[in-house]
Amino acid sequence: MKRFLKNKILVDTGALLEYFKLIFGSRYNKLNEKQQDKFIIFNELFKARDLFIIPQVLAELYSLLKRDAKYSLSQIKHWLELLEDPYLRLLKELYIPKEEILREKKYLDFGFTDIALMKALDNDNFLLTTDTKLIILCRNKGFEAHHIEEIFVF
Amino acid sequence: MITLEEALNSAKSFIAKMKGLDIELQGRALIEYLDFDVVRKEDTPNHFSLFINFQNSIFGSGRSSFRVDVNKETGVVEDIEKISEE
Repeated sequence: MKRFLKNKILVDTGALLEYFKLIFGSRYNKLNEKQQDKFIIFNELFKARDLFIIPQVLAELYSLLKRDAKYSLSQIKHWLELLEDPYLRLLKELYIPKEEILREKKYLDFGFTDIALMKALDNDNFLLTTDTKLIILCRNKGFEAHHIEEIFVF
Repeated sequence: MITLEEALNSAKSFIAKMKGLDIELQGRALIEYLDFDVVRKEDTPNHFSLFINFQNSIFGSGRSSFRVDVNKETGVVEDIEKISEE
């Protein structure tokens, strides 16, 4: 666990969605043993650190929830109500101006969200994501980035 | 009369329940991952007074300290006081 020393985590959409699915599963007692372990580990990590997102992550998250809810508005509403307090309210927000994203030509390959995430990294935070390609990009730029599977390894 | 080891187990179990650290992670109670440590023991006529220290999270460097008084006859935790939380 010593490798997660920084106090701030920038959370990508995939990581957030994975956590939120575990929250839903826990709420309805649908987690198997392995998922239960993952849920505990997520909670342990997230209670020990400040969590940050960028606005694009929330937009992507909403789209993915909509997809998973098969576009049932009542289902999405129910999920968001479950998440709002405390989970969504605890997330702090970072903002990267559009012009800064466009200056980084890699946005053509990675898209706006990934580049904004990379730009939001600094010496005090690290990225938690499910995107291996993004991890490599961030590490090559000198930033710390981890796949969520890394936190589950003892 | 309980032993000191039984008093420690009683204190640990009490803290685990109080803080929700009795849930199991990979087959062990969460508290087992938190470097639970007894930093000082005081022996009074009726109690073992245990000064306990443990990590706040498996990922955290912050620690909490408590004093736990365990009845020597019954093994029941009769008093607990939070000393510090980093």
